[in-house]
This record gives sequence, structure tokens and C-alpha cells, in this order.
Amino acid sequence: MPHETYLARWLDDDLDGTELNAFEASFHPGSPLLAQRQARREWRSTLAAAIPAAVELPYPEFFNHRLAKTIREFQDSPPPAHQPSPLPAPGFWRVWWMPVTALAGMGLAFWAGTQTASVTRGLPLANPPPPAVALHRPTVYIPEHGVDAEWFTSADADAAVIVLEGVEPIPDSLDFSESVGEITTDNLTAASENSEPLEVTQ
Amino acid sequence: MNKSSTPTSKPPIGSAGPVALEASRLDPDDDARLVALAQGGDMRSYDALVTRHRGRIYAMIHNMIHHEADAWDLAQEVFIKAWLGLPQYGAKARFSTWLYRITHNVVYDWSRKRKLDSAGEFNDEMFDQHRIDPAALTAPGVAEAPDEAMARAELRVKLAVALAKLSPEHREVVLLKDVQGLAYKEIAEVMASSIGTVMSRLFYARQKLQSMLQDEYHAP
Repeated sequence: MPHETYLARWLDDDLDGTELNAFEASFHPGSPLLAQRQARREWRSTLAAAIPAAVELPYPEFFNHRLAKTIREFQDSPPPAHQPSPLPAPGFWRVWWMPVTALAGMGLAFWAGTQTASVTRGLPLANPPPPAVALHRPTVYIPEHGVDAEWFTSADADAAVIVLEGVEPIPDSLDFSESVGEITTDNLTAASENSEPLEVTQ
Repeated sequence: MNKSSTPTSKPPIGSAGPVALEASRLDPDDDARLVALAQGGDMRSYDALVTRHRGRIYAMIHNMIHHEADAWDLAQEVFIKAWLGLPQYGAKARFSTWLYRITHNVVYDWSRKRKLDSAGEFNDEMFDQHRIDPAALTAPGVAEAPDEAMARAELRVKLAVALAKLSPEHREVVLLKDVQGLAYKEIAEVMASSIGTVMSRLFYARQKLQSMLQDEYHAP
């Protein structure tokens, strides 16, 4: 490694052990270089004070919870094995038949559509299809300890309700009007960024 | 309905402060033990690893992209990729260095997708490395501030603004060296480049920061 590289590393306190001893044995830095090294140390400490190396991320428990859930999903569903296509390479006859078959299919679909529309046009449906209802219970993540969540659904009412038990009541002293200000784009952006994450999966 | 009321005791996003310094000093031996257990499928050990390193990884990503929600999601991606790559991790590098390498890839993939390029930044690799004076003064003169106390508070804001103006490569090398405290060799591993390139980038990044900060201080 060139001498200049060692010098640059020495100035940044990047040498240690054998490298540092060997370098300092062959090199006696004068006061300007010592001042340079001190300036860099001060620079690093200034940066470290201004920009912390580690910051606890928002909702750390939810971070780990969601990570564990994703990993479990990876473990439960192994990646599909690569299967070679059973179809041979398209030949002349297949290339010729594909557009003809597609055109015939489009014509048939158009004809069927006109026939169906002529029968049902203007008539109300006697038995409308039922609304889509969630079949599986979702996972509701509650970031606060001591809070329980019950999830109810009703196909007849076409509704799903989450009932929270243990949430602290909102104090009467809280004045909502103080938090109401002029609605701006910045306010909306800030509100969306500060919203509580809630995970509901089905 | 898929939303519940927001717990009032939770801090808002962005209010989380720096992790205590003692907690941020991580023992590589503890990492090695936890990694070995996690490689055997012990999810609790991996959870402990995540808890130990999430603060640094999140801070690194957040300082790179300056967006809390995306930084949170990218940190998730880092730890998912780390879990998937654990069988291939051979402890040639420290676990934290390996995580920074994954972070580097995740952030740059994200940047490419967002088409955030560094237009306007000059390419420092076009310069001959021999022209770089390794002893050149690249650290801003903090003592030049007219008022010491006020300058310190201002410097934090100025630094964040100045860092955001750097190219991703320059920003990353400053963060890895001067904030995260990685060695040159480790930074070279993380950024998949030579030590010479790391030195070159660090030199120009610091020089740019110095220039931007001096402009701020000397403005009338």
C-alpha cells in the first residue's frame, strides 16, 4: 500500500495494531499533520453529535412483529420449482391457427353478448349476488399493551366491526378545537405520515 | 372497517430520539453467537439481532433517502434479505458490515426505481487519485463560527441540508466513515469498491461539505 494511503488512513485514525506501529515507526509527523488529524477528529465528533449513528425507528415492536410475520410467510410457502414448458416450440400450423381461433372466439363472444343483452335488458335482477364477505379472520395488530381487539363480521349487514377493549378514554380536558387549523396540503401530508400503522390481513 | 383508534401514548413518527450510545456499541462476539443460532432456524435469536441493529440500519437509510416511511419499509427489506441470506453468510465480515452491504444494495435498488440520479454532481473518479493530497484540509473549521453555541445548533441543520445536496455515493461514504465509524476496508466492502475509490469519494465529499458550510457561514 502506498505511503500516501497509509498517511490518509493515519489522519483518519484508520490504522491500528501492527499497521499503526509500523507506520509511526517510519514516520514522524510534524505539527501541521498533527493539527490536521486533530481537525479531522473534531470534524467527526461534530458530525457524530449532529447526526446520530443509531435512531430508534418508529413503532419498533411492530417492526419486529411484521418482520417475523413476513419471514414466517416465506417459510410456509417454499419457492416454486422451475418447470420446463411442456409445449413444443410453435410451428407453422400453430402460428397459422392462433389468429384464426382468436378471431372466431371474438365473434362468438360478440354474438353471445348481443343475445344475452336482448333478454335481460331493463329487467331487475331477482336475486342479486351476495356481497363479498371476508371468509378468513384477519390478524389485527395492536401496538399498545393491555388492549384487546375482537373482530366481528356480518354477511347480512355487509359490515365488519373491530371492538377495542382497554383503550384509555379520551380526557374531557382535551380540546379538539385547538388541534383544528387551516387545512393545507402540508397538513394533510403530515397527518398521513403520522398515522398509526394498523395491519389487517386476510 | 380496518382501522382502530390511535393510542395516545405512542410517540408520533419522527419523534424517536437517538439510541443511547451504550446500546449502540455492539459486541461482535454477541452477534456471532446470535447469528449461529439464527442460522439454525432460531427466530428469537434473529429477532434479537434485528433489535440490536435496526437503529443503525434505519438511521443509515433515513440519512440516505430522507423519508421516514420509505426508510422504515427499506429497513424491513434489509432484514428480510438478511434472513434469506443467512445460510450464505460466512462471517468473513462483521455481521454489521454485511448488513450495511445489504443496505447499500437495497437503497440503490430503490433509488434506481425512483429514478433518482445524481445529475449535476461531478464524477470524482475522472480525477487522478495521485493528484489528491491525503493531508489536505477537508474538515470545516468549526471554530470559525461567530458564536460558538449558536453555531452548534445551526450546524446540525446546515449539515443535514448539505448532506442532502451530495450525490448518493458521497453522502454514503461520509455517513459510513464519519457517522457510523466504519474503517476504510469495511466501507470498500460495503460499497463494492477499492480503498482508493473510498478515499477519493471521502475527500471530495468532505471538501464539498466544507465548501457548502463555509458559504453558509460567510453569507451576509
